[in-house]
Amino acid sequence: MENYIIEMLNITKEFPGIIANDNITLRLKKGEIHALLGENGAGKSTLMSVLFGLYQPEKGEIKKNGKVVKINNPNDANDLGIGMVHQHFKLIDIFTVLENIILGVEPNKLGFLQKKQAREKVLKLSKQYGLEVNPDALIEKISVGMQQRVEILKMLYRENDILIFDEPTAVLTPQEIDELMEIMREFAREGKSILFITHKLNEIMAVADRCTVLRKGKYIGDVAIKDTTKEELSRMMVGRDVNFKVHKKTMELGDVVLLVENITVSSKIHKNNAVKNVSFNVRAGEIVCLAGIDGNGQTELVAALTGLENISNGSIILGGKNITKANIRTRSMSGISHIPEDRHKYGLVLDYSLEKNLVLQRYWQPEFQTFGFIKTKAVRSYADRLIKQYDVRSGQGPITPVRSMSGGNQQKAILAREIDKEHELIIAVQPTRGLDVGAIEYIHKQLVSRRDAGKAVLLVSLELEEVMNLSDRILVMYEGEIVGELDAKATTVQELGLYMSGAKRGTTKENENAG
Amino acid sequence: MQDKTVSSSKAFDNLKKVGKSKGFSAFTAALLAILLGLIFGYLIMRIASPANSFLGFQMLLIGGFKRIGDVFYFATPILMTGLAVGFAFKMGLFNIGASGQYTMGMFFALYVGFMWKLPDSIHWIACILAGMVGGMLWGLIPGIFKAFLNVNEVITSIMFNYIGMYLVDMLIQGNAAMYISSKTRTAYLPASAQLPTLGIPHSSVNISIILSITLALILFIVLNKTTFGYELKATGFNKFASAYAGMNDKRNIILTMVIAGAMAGLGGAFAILAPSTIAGSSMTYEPVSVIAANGFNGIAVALLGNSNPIGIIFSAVFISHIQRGGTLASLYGYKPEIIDVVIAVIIYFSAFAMLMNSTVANLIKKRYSKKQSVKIPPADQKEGA
Repeated sequence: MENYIIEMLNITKEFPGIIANDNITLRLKKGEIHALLGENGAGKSTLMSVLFGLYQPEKGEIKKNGKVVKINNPNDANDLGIGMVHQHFKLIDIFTVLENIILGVEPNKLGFLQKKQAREKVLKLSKQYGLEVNPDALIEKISVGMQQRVEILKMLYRENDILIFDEPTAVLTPQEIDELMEIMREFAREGKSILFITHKLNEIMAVADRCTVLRKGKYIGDVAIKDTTKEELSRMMVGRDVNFKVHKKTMELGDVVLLVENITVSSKIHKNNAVKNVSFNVRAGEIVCLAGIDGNGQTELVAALTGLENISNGSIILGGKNITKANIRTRSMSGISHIPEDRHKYGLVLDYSLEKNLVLQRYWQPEFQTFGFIKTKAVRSYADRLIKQYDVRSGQGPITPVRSMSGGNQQKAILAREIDKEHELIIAVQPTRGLDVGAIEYIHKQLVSRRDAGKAVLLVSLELEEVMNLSDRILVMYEGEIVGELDAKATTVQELGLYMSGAKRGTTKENENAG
Repeated sequence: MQDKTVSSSKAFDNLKKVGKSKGFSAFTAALLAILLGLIFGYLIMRIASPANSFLGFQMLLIGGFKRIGDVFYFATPILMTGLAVGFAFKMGLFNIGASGQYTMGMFFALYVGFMWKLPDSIHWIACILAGMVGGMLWGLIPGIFKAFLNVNEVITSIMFNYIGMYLVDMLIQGNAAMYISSKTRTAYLPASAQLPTLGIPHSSVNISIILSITLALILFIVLNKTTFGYELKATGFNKFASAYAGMNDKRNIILTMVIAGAMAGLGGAFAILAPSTIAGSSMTYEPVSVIAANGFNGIAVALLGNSNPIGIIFSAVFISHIQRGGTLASLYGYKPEIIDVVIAVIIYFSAFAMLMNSTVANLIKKRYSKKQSVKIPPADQKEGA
C-alpha cells in the first residue's frame, strides 16, 4: 500500500438533472504533481469543490493520511492543509498584496493588526521560493502573473501542503508558464503535494507525475505520465482519436480585403487609449491572427472594426470601400461576418429559438419578410438547412430555445449564421473558448475552409496552440499596439511569448538573430 | 444535460413537457398567484369582520357576474394602460409613466370634445384620435431622453406623471368652456363626443372595449409576426446582441415608447368619453392634483398578464371583475379599502409568480431525477484506461 496523503474514494455528487461526479476516485501521493484532466463539464471543478468543502458529496469519502475526514467548508479544508489557487483569482483589488495574503488569518493583538510579523513571513516565503512580490503594491496595479503569485503566497502563508491549481496557465505567457512549472516542481521536491487541473496536454506531459482523467462526470483512469503519451491521454479525455494538426492547402494570396490605417480607440476603463495607432491588413485567402494576452486591446480593436465602438482616429477600408463611419448593419452588409468573443452577451439572444437566432443578421432581408411581416416558413426552411448543413444539434430542432443548447452547438449556430451570410471577411474572436476538443476541431476546419474558399479571416485568440496551428500570419498586440508581425511557419511559441509579454518588438526579419 | 437521467417513467416525460411549455408556465404562475392572493384576501376579510366573511367573500368572487357590463366598462382603461406598460416591458423599458400618458390622452380628448365643432358621426372618433396623440406625445419625450441621452425612463416618466397631471389640471381650470368651478369638475361633454354604447342597461359599457381588445390583438401580432416585434423583443432579451445584429435601438426605443404612450392615451380617452347612464350627462374629470390610479393599475395588469397582450386582456377583465365584486361586498359591511387590500395582495403575489413557478418546476424535477439517478449503474472504472 502506497502512502497517499489525500484519497477521494467513490465520490458521487449530483445536481438536479445531472450527475456531475459519478463514483470518482482520486488518490494523491505525498510530494507528487498530480494532474486532473478532462474537458469542460467533465466534473473537474465539482470534484475540487468537494475537496475544498464547497459541496458535500452524496456518496463517497475523503481520507487524509488514511483517516476519514469530513470537510464541511473551506475553513475545514484549510485546517487540513488544503489550499487552492482558483481560476478566477479571489483577490481584493483595492487592497495591497500583503493585506490580501493575510486576509482571513490576520495576525492581531486585541483586534489591532500586527502587520510587521506578517510582512516578515511573506518576504521570507517569497525569497525562499523565488516568488517576487512587492507587499505594498495594490492588486489592481500589478500584472495577472503577479496576482497569481499572490494567490500562491496565500497558500504558503497558511502553511498548506496540499496545493490545488485550477487552470493556472490560462492567463500566463509562455515564459510565465515555464516559471510556474519550475515553482511547482520546487514545491514537489519539498514534499508538498500538488493537484493540477488543466485541459492542456503539453503542460501535463511537462510537469506532472501522474494524471487522473475524467470524462462526462466519470472516472476514466489514473496513469503515470512516464508510461503514457499525449495521444493516449487525449483519447482517454475525449473518448476517441483526435487530430491535432489542421490541414491547410497552400494558397495564393488575393487582394487586400481589410485595410486598417492608424486607428486609435479610447478605453472605457481607463484614461489611456485601448488601441494606439494600429495599422494592418488582411488579404483574401489568409488567416491573420491577432495574438496577445487578454486585455491588450484586442477586444476594443474588434469592436472598432465591427462598428460596436467608435474610433477616435484613423480609417478602416473594406474591399476598397471606406467604412470608418458606417454603422454596424452597413458593415455587416458590406461583407464583415463577426463571431463575437462573448457568444451569450453578443452572439445570441438566448431566450429566442434557434431559428430566430439563425436569421439574426438577415431577418430584414426580402427573403425573410414582406411589408414588415416575418415569413415564418422561409425562416423555418432556412433554419432547417443550416441545422443540417452545419450539424447543429439541439433538443427540438429549429424551435429549441438557444439557452438550453450546449456551448458547442451554440457556437456552431453562430458559425453557421456568419458563414452562410455573404461575406468577404470573417472576424472570429476566441471562437473555441470553453468548447470541447470535438467542437474545436470542427470550428477550426470551418475557418480553414473559409480561407481556402478565398475569404479573409481575422482570428483573435489567446490560445497559443490555436494561433500556431491556424494562422498564416501573426500580429501580436501588447498594450494597445501591434508590437510584432510574424510568419506563422517561421516562428516558435517561445518567440511569440516574448512579443506577448512586451519583451520584444518588430517583425521576424528584423529580429532574425534574436530569440 | 439530461442524457444522464434515464427517463423511464412516462408521467415524468409528460410533466417535463408541460413544464417546458412557456405559455403554460406563465398561465399556471398567474393562477397560482391569484389563488394565493385570494386565500390571503379571505383571511383579511375574516379578520376585518368574521361574521360576514364567507358571504362577503362569495360576493367578491361572483358579484362581478351580476354586473357584467360594468366589469367590461371598468376593464377598458386598465386594459389600455396594461398594454402601455406591457408592450414597453417587452423591450426592457419600464414605462411607469402610463398615468401621465393616460391623463394627457384624456385631456386631449376632452379638448377636442369641447372645443372642436365637428359632425356628430366623426366627433367621437376625432376625440379618440386626439387622445391617442396626447398619449404619444407623453411617451415620445421620455423615449427621446432614453434613446439619445440614456436617461433612465423610470425617472423621466415618473416626472412626466406629475408634469402631465399638474399641466392638465391647470389647463382645465383655466378654460371656462371646459370647467365648472362651482362644482370643481369639468362640464358635461356634448353627446356627439361620447362613445357609442353597447346597449346593456344600467351600464356605461361601450364600443371602446371592442377597440381595446382589437388593439391588444394587433399588438400581439406586431410582437410575434413582424420584424419590428422581432427587433423589439430581441432588444428586450439582450440589448447587446441586438446592437451586434445592427438593429437601430434608438429608433426602436422611441417607437416603442410612442406606441406605449398611444395605448395609455387611448385608455384616458376611452375613460372620459364613455357614455353616461343618465341622459344629458357625461363622465367628468375633477382636477384635484391626484395622479390617475388607472395608470398604476396598468402595471399590475401587465404583471399579471405577463406582459403578453392576450394575457393582459384576461388580467384586466379579472381585476375589474374583482373590483366590481368588491363594491358589492360592501353590502356586507366591507369597506372598499378592504377590497383594495385584497387586490393589492393578488398583485403582490403576481410579482412572486415567476419565482413560485420555477421553484415548483425545480421541485418536480428534483424529486424525479433523484429517484431515477439511483437506478444508474456504477461507472465502469476500466473504461479507456
